[in-house]
Amino acid sequence: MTWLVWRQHRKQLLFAAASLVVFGAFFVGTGRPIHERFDRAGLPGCLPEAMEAPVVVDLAASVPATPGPAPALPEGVDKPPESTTPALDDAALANARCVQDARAFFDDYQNVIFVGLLLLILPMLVGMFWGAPLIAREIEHGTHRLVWTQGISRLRWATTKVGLVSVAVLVITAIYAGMLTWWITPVIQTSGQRFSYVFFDIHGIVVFGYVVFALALGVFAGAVTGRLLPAMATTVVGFIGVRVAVMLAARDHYLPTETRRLPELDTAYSQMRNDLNGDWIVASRTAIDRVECPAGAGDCARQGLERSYELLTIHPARHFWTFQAIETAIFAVLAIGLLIGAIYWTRRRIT
Amino acid sequence: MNDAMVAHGLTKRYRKTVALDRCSFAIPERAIVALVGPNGAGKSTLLHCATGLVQPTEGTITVLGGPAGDRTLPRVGFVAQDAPLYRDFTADELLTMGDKLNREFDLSFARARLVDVGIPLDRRMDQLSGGQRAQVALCLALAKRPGLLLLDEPLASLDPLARREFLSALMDAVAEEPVTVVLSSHLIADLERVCDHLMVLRSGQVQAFGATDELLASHKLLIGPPQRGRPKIAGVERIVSATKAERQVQLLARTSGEILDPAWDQYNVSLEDLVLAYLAERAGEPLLDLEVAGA
Repeated sequence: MTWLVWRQHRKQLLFAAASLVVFGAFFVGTGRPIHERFDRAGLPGCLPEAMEAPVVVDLAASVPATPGPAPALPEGVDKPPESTTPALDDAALANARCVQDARAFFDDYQNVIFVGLLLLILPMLVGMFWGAPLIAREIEHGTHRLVWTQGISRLRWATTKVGLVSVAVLVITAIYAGMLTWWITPVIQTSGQRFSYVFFDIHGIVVFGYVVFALALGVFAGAVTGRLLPAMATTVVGFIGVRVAVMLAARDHYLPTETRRLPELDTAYSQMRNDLNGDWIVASRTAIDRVECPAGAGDCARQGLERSYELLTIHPARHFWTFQAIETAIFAVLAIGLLIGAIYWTRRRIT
Repeated sequence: MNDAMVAHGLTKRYRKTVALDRCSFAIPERAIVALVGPNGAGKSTLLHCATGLVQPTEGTITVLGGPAGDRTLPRVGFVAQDAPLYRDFTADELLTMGDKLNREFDLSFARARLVDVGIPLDRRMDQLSGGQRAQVALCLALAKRPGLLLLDEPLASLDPLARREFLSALMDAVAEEPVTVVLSSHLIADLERVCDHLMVLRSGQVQAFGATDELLASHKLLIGPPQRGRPKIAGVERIVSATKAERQVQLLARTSGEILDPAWDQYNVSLEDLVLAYLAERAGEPLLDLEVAGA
């Protein structure tokens, strides 16, 4: 049986291997300049710390703050309040520079998102060209009557065929996902968007979930319809449908959101929120704290009664792999269900 | 003597149609059965039931003493209609497949056989003629050394010369083997030469089944005067078909004994007449009454 599976699928395997070589050449060819630039900018060293800073000084805009016209003073105040600007310490400055470099880097390479869009449909192609024909082509050519009447049971035929092809697809996916993850990591790290719809979906372990799901969907559709083109069409519609539904409707709810309060904005420097840490920001708003002045403290009441700060509703970056694992599990469970369905259907199929 | 294939009330219903309708029969070992019926009579369904490709809705079918399906499949050789083969496989690769998928597969026999019938082992299936592909499919089935060989319309796509070659190859192969053969066809003429049993299938029901010599002995063509109503003739068990000619009525009848009625001339029938009579019969009732009433 193993021999038969190899004989029937060796062309596809060869094609897959050739595709891996092409992808490999592309990833290495375009990835090396990316990595060189990434290293040269010193980003691997500074990013881990800089990513964690919730806000950073906006170097481009604010240092040193240019003195503008003196603000109109409130009545009864004869001089502006003492400048309380603290000196920028080295660490804050380094973080700010690092973030600035990262943004510049990302600006240069964010076009890889378009490549990423192409990679989004790769699993679907596996479903169309490996999954759908697996059983549908046998039935369409009538060869199921040849192979199901040899000396082995239909159950064994189906499990061996589906099993071996799945293993081959997983190995190919592992090689592919490894290359891709190496290639795209610098861009994702400098984007602060590892949860974004493109980046989350094209790297990491979810790729395995998508590929196995697409394969299983193709096999199932082929077993049920017994015809190649309808099976391929079902794979396309089903894959896109389920992926989009999970992405838009389910992913947000894998874990409860957290609330994060950013430090209040320092008026002395122009500061900005640092999104590099990769939190998934679901919502943000500006909130205001009223400062309760101690009774009789007149100054307090005049100077700053209110402190504004940003309040973020987030899925924190540290949950990234949990999210990936949950999403992978969802698709793996769907895939296993579909494969069992396909085998069951094959066993009791009316010919 | 055991029976190679036994059916009891075998019924297969698809969503709207009934493919097999309470079929019961027992095919003795070493019989060569011509399974004859028009297209859609249920011949393929019957053979598929015997291989386990199709599960009957009701009734049972046993082959070689066991239930049809995975357990008996290793000893059943089957060539499906149009002899489906992997088109991009060479003959040798197909035999390798047979070898890998069957515990007892006679690979050297199969190779030698293909060479005998003049099929190069390295030739791909899509480069062979229909007749050659049928030979490869037959060879694949024979190499299982089956106790039961089922061939679904093996001659349908072959030209007359290829039909003869196929049948003689088949007969050579099974002559010495303890194998039961069931061949289906919508024409009896193809199989008359080789079969020793006949099963006529129509609308999913077995119309006639038996050894050909017994069937021929028990059916007569009776020619007699036109008459009103159904003729009652001593020795006639059943009138299979009736046609009215100029001034006479022709009956094809199954007899249960000598026919002594002098009003009726009796003639022997050919297998083809017999099959046609069973297939022409409509809804189980001969048309005699109508036709004679109009005379």
